[in-house]
Amino acid sequence: MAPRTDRSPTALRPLALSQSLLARADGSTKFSFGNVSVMASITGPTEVRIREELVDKATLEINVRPLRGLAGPSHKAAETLLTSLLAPLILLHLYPRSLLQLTLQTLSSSSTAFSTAFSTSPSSLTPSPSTVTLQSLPPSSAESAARINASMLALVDAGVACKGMLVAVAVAFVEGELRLDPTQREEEMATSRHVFAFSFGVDVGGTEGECVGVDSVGQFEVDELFEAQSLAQTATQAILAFIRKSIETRYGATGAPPPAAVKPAPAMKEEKMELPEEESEGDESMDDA
Amino acid sequence: MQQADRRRFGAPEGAVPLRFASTSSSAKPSSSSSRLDGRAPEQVRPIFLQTGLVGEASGSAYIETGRTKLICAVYGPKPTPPSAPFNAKARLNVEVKFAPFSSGVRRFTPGKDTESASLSATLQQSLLPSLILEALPKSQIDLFLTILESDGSDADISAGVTAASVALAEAGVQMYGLVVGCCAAFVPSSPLPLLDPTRAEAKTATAFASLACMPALGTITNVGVSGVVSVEQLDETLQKVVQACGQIHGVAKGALEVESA
Amino acid sequence: MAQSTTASTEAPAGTSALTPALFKRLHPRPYLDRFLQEGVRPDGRPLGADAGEAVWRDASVNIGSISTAPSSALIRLGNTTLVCGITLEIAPPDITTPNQGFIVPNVDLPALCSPLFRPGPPSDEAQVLSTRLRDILIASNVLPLASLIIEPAKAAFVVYLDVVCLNFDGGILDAAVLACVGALKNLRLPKATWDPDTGATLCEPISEKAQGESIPLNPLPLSVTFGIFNGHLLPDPTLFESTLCTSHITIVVSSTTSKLLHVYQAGAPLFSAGADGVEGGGREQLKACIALARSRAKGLLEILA
Repeated sequence: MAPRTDRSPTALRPLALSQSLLARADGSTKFSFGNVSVMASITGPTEVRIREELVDKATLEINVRPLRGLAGPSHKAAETLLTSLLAPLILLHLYPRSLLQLTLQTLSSSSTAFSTAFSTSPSSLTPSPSTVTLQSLPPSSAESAARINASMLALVDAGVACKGMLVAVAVAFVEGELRLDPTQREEEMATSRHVFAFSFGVDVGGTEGECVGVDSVGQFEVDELFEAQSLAQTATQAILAFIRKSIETRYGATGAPPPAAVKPAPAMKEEKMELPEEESEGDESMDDA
Repeated sequence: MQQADRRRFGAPEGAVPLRFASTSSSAKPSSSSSRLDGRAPEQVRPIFLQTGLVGEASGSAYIETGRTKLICAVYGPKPTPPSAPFNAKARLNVEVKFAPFSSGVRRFTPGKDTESASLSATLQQSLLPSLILEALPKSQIDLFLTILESDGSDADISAGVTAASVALAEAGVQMYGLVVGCCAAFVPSSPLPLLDPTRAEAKTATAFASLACMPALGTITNVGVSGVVSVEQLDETLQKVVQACGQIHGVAKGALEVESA
Repeated sequence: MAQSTTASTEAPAGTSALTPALFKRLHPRPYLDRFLQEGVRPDGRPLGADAGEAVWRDASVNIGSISTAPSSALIRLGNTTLVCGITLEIAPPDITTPNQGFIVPNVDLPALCSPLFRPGPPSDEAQVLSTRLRDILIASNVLPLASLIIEPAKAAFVVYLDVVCLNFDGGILDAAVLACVGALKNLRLPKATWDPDTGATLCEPISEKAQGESIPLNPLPLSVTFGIFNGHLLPDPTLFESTLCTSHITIVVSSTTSKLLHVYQAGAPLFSAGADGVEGGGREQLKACIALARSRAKGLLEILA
């Protein structure tokens, strides 16, 4: 596997964040790691079906939709992961007998099987037995991390009360090298993939972050796991800084809404109103902690 | 149905069952009166019956005869949902399922397949007369039967009836008596009908008869006959089957006595 | 159920006497707490990492009981009972991977095994288990897909691993992995030849003369789950304990190498490094879990052999 040319092994891809995209949803966010982008929309607190009603807290319902085709068992697993991560952080007790419905849709990821040239000739593709890669497992770590981030930010956009912020990032070991925010190809060639989720906030991790989610698959040593976790922690701190900056730019550091643009008098020329633009960051360069 | 398909990992495109090179035809019994496994024509296979395997169920039974293995669990009696119309007698819901690996060729059908549906109906018909359902208005009893290894689906259901009845007894549902099932096949190679046939034996059958009865009361709850058979022969055979049921009833009773001991 | 009727007839009306069964039903959390304070769990297992083998439920494996399946394994883990049956089919390999066969695992939680499940299509829980089982089996590469090839680019075996739960009492993922591994160990593939003229594959039936080929398996994955309740670590929780635990950790270790194959934890803060990289108490706890998992894996391997 060729070394990275566009960024250092411990650098994130360009992050992109835009909120309030959907007019009919209470909150919506589009979050991207490079070209892997996920949109989350949340409706709630809203009316809940009697069958699912919980007397003392809100019912959290999560739906994950894939980029293509219908959702299958792996998307159910993704829903379960999100529920386990978000339920402890959202102050569900503030919204009893109501429903928080979160829907996630993957908007883009690099194309799956045909991103690189391949040959159908049997002789050319014998996998080398020494390095076992996760080729047969559909690459989804970066997508999973993007989903977690998009969900959290949709909750922020909707104004749902939470104890803290949840930020996630994916890490992979490719040929013994630790790579942050792996691309599709890197995930396929990886010997192990990890998704780490950290919570930040008063009593839930402070500014350092507390690891609340681990989903690692592959073949790895314990030390490799801890090394990956440390890198992920620093990376999530950087992602949180980006998120904060993006939201502050939008709302102003004091939290006040941006002043409305004033329409000039009709006699003068028509001027177009500037809509809030999508915020995107350039490369975040990360050094080893 | 699309719905269940996408809730499981599906087969790859173009998957077909294994095809075996033709083998020598299955061994024929040496004499007309002995069977492949050496039984006499009236002999039923030894039965292993155990209760209480499913902890959370009101009653459960696991039965093994020859290569047939199935497990049955009863949940209830429990109240019917308030949205359902009033029922003066308890409702017995029976569901029979085949495990995907039960028949050699992988069975996978989303939702109910027709074979399961007809077996469920037969099983329910066999059990209903034995239960005192009037004692449980506004209730339902759920009975689930999973066939882990199948050796001919008609013989499966006979074993299933026995297991289901034992499970219902363990669950404490009031009943007039235990129902046991047995079946017989008429094969050209034998003048006598073969009781409790295996799939290999039933393959060459010209007629098949299955029976569910309550030996304690001496009544029959369900009879099914298919194929061509004379009335006298059928009468004789059913007598023999009823006798065999008496033996099976002893085994079923024993399994319940062990459990309560 | 018989148990609850006995309980209600024992406690005379009008008194405040709570039988253990009623207490368990009405106040499950304090019930579990009372046990843990005494250093025991409700099923009698001791609490504490130095209790050795006794923290785990008894496991038993019965291989090859289903004769209609090329291989099968019946697992009992405490009260949890499940069967894994393998069926084989033949399919042309995927165009992009002409040298690989297929493994299709599925977990079925039928209405039979617990009152929690209704009849019908696979529940959410079953789908999640199927996904995690598939991830574990593929990541561990226990059955190399290349060994399933009959004719490159033309025909390969499809190995269906159908896991059916018969009694649901927690630890399903652990039992499912163990069942699949047990069934795979015993699997013999029939000799198959692809006929270029007909495009079909013919297999030789397995008999005493033609035993078929057993596939050399890579290091076996062995899964261990822990529950966390009120700061206590509960190895191999039962269903009652699982529903009360705030979160779970699953660790899958390899049978021969020192590598981990899968670590999963979601929801509760588990391990965190200090500000300057100093290991906090959380990492030590994870290391302790891994050590426990490894010792359990040794025990499970002996049962499989």
